[in-house]
Amino acid sequence: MSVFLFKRLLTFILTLFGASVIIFAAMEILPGDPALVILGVDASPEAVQALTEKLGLDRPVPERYFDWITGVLGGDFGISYSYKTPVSELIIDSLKITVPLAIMAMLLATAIAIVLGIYAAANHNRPADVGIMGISQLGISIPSFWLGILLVLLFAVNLRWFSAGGFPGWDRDFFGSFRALILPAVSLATVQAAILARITRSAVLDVFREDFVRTARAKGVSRRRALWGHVLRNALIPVITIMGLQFANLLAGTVVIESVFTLPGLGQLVLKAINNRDLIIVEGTVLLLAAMVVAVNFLVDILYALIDPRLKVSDI
Amino acid sequence: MSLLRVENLEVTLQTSVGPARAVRDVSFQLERGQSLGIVGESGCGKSMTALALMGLLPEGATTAGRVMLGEDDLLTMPENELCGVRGNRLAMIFQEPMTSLNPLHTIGAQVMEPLLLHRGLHKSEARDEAYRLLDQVGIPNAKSRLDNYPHQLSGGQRQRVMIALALSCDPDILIADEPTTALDVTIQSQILDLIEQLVSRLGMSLILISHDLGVISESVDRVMVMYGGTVVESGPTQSLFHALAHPYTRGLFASMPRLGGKRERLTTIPGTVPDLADLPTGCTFAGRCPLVTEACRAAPPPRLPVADGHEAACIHLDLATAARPSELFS
Repeated sequence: MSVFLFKRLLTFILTLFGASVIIFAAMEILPGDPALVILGVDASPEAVQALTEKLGLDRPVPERYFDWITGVLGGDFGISYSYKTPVSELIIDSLKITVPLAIMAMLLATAIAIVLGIYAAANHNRPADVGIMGISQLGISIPSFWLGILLVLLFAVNLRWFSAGGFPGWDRDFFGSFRALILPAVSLATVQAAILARITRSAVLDVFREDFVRTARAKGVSRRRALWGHVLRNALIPVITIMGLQFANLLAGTVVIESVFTLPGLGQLVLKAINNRDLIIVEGTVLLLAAMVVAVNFLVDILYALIDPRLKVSDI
Repeated sequence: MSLLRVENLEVTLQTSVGPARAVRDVSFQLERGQSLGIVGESGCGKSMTALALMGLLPEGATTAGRVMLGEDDLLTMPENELCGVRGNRLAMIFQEPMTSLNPLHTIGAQVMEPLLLHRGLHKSEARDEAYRLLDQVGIPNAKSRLDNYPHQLSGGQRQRVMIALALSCDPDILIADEPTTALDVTIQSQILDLIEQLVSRLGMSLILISHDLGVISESVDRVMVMYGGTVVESGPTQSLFHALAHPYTRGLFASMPRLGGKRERLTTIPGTVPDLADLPTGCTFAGRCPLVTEACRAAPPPRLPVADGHEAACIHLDLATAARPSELFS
């Protein structure tokens, strides 16, 4: 177990290091001079030059990378060019929206998917199964931003149950803030739930055909008991794998959904920063997003080891 | 009254090419303490017969006929009652010990399951009983093995666990479907001995399924030879091996390699097994039989007596028994 964890931890660190290099390099290649964007196109070359020096952008790339990465390791993400505030503060504020949104969407997607997937598998080839699979096909085909707009039209404009967008802030209005995240979470969760329901269904059906399920049935275990006692835990392995992969998609989806619902989350922050060529924000947030994806997959690996006793001895 | 009476059992499977008649008109009886061997090559319907008895046929399969366990017809019994029979009065050991145990559950939990289900034991009692069962089937350090997972055991040990599992509720009948096929030769006889020994000690009946004539000839009281989903020859082991009657049985026996025999080509039965979705109207073996005539293809052959309790489904028994098997298929 400790070898397993150590290896995973090492991969975690190496992946993040690689990601930081790629992110920094990508920002260097990105066209558009930050100083020029800040000062406007009419600015004099001298002023642009002065600002470039002030921002430290005239220094060689490796030196700037080293400064940035040592800062990040100490929790200092630098000062935003456009907001003139520490990037870490901006990130923490936006995380207060994005993290609850992602967790809500993931929980919602998982709950719906596992219930529907198991129900469909238990009713294999019957109308309930065909119906659920048809709906999930529809769910996969609908883009989340479009679903978001439809939800706004129905629940915000017509029924007036929810607000169409914006975020009151957790300190000011906790319940209102929670409500503001419901529609975006539903739009994000729908596609994920549709995909995951299919995976769950086929995983359950696959395991049902395994020899050991036949053994359990030969012991006198009923189909239902076999499903809960023998099939489900085995079927969770592929389901969790896909959940880990979906998390990255979900984060990418938040960027779009935060725009639809005008939520000042991480996605909005990074989008605005790219437009403003506020490179220091972009670098910090993208690195953080990468870290979140890698962390979730790290968690998935630990879950594997908890579920499957075979992983504790074999060195993966 | 017989412990188990199977009458005109039919099993039809749904396949992509249409319905396949996997088992046709199979009848046999099993007395308490008796053992029955079912022999035949892959796809002859021997496993499907066993699964039909257990009520564990694949999805979409249909059955006809009767499977009477005492007073109860297992084919018409509701599923919830059948769950009380499986593992309790009727138990089964499968061919593949490597995949027949749940990889995520401990050995102890898997052996304890039928005890908790049928015998109403408490967890601690069931654990003690599981230990006794594992010890009985010859697993060393049985106590510590209770907390092991299947991947920590060898194939032979896993099959021993399967035996312990099957015997846990003292079933009336134990069905062993090719219990040694997936094991090393050295382990095979150990496992067979163990099954035989426990079956006779506990006084249960045994249905042993195998494609290995040697295994069958040594282990059972009666033999049933199956081909193309139906029984071609059946009888007491002694009588049957003494006077093989059906051309298929004779061919099967002749194609077994013998230690120390003359160096010559092995006898083979030409052709392949018939497609179960497209069976001939007459004798299923007609396509491969050297003695085939028009009459064989016209109608299924009747079962004709060979000796006391020994019968074979062939209309040319006189010709078949007259020729030596190696000549028959040369």
